Amino acid sequence: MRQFIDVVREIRGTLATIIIFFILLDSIIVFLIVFLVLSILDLYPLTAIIPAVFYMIMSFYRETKLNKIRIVEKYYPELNEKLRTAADYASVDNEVVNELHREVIDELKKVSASSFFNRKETITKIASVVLICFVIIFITTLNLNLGAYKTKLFDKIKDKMSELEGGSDSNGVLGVPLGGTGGNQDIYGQRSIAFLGEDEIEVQLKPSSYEFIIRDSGEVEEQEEFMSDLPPDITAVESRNYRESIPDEKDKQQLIKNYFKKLAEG
Amino acid sequence: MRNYKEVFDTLFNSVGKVVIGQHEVVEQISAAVLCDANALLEGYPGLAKTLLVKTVADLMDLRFSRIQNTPDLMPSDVTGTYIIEERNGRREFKFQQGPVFANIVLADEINRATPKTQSALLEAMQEKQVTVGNNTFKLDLPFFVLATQNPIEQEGTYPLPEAQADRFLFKIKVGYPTPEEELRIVDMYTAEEPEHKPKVVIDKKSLIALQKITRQIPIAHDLKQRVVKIVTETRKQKDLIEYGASPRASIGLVLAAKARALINGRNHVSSEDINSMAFPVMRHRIILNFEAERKGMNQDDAIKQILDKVK
Repeated sequence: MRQFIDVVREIRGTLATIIIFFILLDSIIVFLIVFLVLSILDLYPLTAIIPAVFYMIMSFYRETKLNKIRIVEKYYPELNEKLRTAADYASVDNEVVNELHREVIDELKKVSASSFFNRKETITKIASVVLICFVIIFITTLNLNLGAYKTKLFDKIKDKMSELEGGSDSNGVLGVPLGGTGGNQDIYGQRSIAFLGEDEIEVQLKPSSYEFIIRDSGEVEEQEEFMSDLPPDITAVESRNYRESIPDEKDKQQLIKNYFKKLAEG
Repeated sequence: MRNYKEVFDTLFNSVGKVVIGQHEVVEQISAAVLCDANALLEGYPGLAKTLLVKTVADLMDLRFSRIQNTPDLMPSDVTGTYIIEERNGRREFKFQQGPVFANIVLADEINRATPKTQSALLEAMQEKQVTVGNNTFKLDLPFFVLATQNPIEQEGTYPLPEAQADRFLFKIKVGYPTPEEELRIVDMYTAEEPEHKPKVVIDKKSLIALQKITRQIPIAHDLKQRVVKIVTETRKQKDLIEYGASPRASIGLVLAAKARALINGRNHVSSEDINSMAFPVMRHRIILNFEAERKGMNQDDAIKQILDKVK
C-alpha cells in the first residue's frame, strides 16, 4: 500500500514537471509575440510581460485542475480506469485492492516519462521561440516603426467610436447637448473637409497638443518688465471747434452775457 | 482474480450443457446471487427460465424450491403454517416450513398471486425472515428469490406495484434463442434422455465468501459519479420518462457492476460493467410517459439514450 502511494506521488511529480516546462515555454512564446507587436506599433514593449504572466497564471490554474492520472491513462490505454481506481483506493487495504495495486505497479514499470513529451510539439515550440527572437532582432536593427499607421488607426477607431456615440440619443431634443455629465464628449466636432477654390485644404487638429494638466500649473510669475500688448487708453478730447476765447474783464463779460440774453429773448 | 474468472467460466459452461444460449441471462442471475439480491425474470413461456434457475441452484449446491403462484395461493402456502401434531398423547402446535425456507426460491409467475401473498414473499426477500403469527423465523443464508412473470396474458393478474418491483435488483429479460441455438436445443432434448447431473461448482460457503469479495471490488470515484448521474438523469428526462429511478437504483448499479467485474475476473469496475448492468437494474424502475410509448419506445431505449448522454 505504502509502495503504491509512493508510485502515485512519483507519477504526479513527474507529470507536474513536464506540465510546468510546457507552460513556461508557451508563456515565453506569448511574451515574444506580444513584444514583437508592441515594438512594431511603437508602444512600450515591456508591457508584453503582463499578458505572458496572465497566460501563465491561467495555465497553471487550469493544469492544477487537470487529473494527472487521466493523462497517464490517455497515453497508456491498458491502464484505463485501472490506474484511477487504484489511485482512489490508495489507502484501502484488502485482498482485491492489494492485488490491483500490485498489478498496476507492474504495468507502470513500462511507463516512461519521455512518452509524455510530444517531440514534434516541443521542437515546434522551441523553433518558434528562436524564430520570433530573430524577427525581433531584425526589426530592431531596421528600426521598423509603424507609429504613423498606429496614429491613423487610433484616429479611425476614435472616429468610429464618436460615430457610434453620436448615433445614440445622448443629445437633447434639438440636438443641443444637455447639461451634466451626459451629452457628446467630442469637443472637436465633426470632421469636415474644407475647400479653397477647388483645392482641398488639409487641416489637422491634434487633440494631444491641447492637453492641459491642471496639476502641473502654478501661479503666474510676474515679469519685471511687463510689456503690455494692449492698445493705449482711449479718452475723450475736447474738439477745438468748441473752444472759445472769453475775455477776462468783467465789463466785457457782462456785455457778452447781455448779448446772448437779448439774442435769446429776440 | 483469474481464479474467480475460471470458477465462473466453469459455472457458465456447466449451465450451457443444460440450457443452450442465454449467456447474458446466466451472467445476470450470477450477478444477482453475488450481490445477495433478488431478480425478476421476464420472458415468454417455454424459454427454460425454471430450468435455468434450477440448474444454477444445483451448481451452487443451494436448496431450491419452487412456488407456482396462482390467485388462490395464500401467504401461509408460501411462508408455512402451524399444524397440530400429536406427540406422546399430547397435541401441540408445530411450525411447518413453507417453500420460502430454501436458498433459492423460484416464484413462478409472481404476478398471478394476490397482493397479500406477494407481500408475504416480499417480506422474505427484503428482511430475509418470515413472520407467522407472533413468531419470526430467520431464513437460511444465502437466500434469493428469482421470480418470473409472463409479459403476455395480463388478464387476471396482479402486476407488481412499482414499490415492490423496486425491491428486485434486476429485471432480466429472457429472450428467444437464435435459430442455431434452437437447433441445438432440439437436438439435445429429442435425442436419448441425457443424464445431466451437474457437478457442484461453488459451494454455499464459497458463495458467501464471493459475496464479500464482490463488495470489496473497487470502483473509481468518477465512475461512481457517473452511476449517480445516470440514475438522476432518469428523473430529469421528462420528455421520455414520467417517473425516474430511486437511489436504490444507484446502489444496485454500483453493486451489480462490481459483481460483473468479479465474474469477468477483473479487480476493478469499468464503464463497460456499468453500461451493461444499467439495463437490468433500471428497466423496472422507470415509467415511460405517453409520448415515449407513442413513439414505440421501451425502457431499454430510454436507458440507452441516457447512457449515450452521460458519458
